[in-house]
Amino acid sequence: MTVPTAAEAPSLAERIAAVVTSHPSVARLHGGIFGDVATYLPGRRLTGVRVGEGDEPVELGVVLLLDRPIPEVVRDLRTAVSGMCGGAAVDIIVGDVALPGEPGPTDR
Amino acid sequence: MSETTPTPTVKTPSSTVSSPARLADDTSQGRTTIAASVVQKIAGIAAREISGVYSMGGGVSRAFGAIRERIPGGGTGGANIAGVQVEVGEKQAAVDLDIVVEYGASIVELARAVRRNVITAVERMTGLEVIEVNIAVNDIHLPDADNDEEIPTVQAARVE
Repeated sequence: MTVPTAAEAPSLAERIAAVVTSHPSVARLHGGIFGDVATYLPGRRLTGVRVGEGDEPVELGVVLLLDRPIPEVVRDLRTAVSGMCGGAAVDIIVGDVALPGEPGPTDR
Repeated sequence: MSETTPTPTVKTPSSTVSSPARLADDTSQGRTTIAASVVQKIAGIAAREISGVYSMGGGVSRAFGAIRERIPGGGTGGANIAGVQVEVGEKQAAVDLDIVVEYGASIVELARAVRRNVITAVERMTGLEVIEVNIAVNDIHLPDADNDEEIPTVQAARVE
């Protein structure tokens, strides 16, 4: 399929972010080990999704809820995101986990 | 040639505590990286689930943990990972635990239960194979010593 051009990539990153965060086992997006997984959009920075150019993989940083095994969730996400990007490789970084009781970073 | 040196099998440097694990089952589909803190949290939660584990961590980390919990914004996230060190590789993980047991629990039985639960939880949740779980019992908690500030009798067992 077509590689997203630079013009449509930002909106693609936003669409990926929306699909990923709508998964029931995803607590939130995560910037990766070094906080470098992000897309620069006009006026803001979308942390947790980076769409590479050409045949670079799509990078995804997530914080998962511990209600399902991580490999299962990762497989779901990879299938969904890869389908949106025309079958591109999807590197997924599970940066942290959250307990199902405390979905937000501001617990307590 | 008088001597033949065996070809050294170059081992890839095993990743340290902070380095991520990669699940080896993905190929051209992309890589999956699981951060060490993920394994740390899962192991900490699994160890605490066993009744008879009073708390976790060496004397120093327990003292800091008690202070940190009182600081607003210090977060309770550290509470789950106190006393848990992990090493994660490509497919495997090793876990070191420092625990404080309740008085009256059989330490041998307790350690066995903790080990079993940690292995099950980490393998199921992350897909990594757990090669070892080392358990250090740091202290024993007496029921009547609740409210006094506990004097850590054992300092942190290891310095990394």
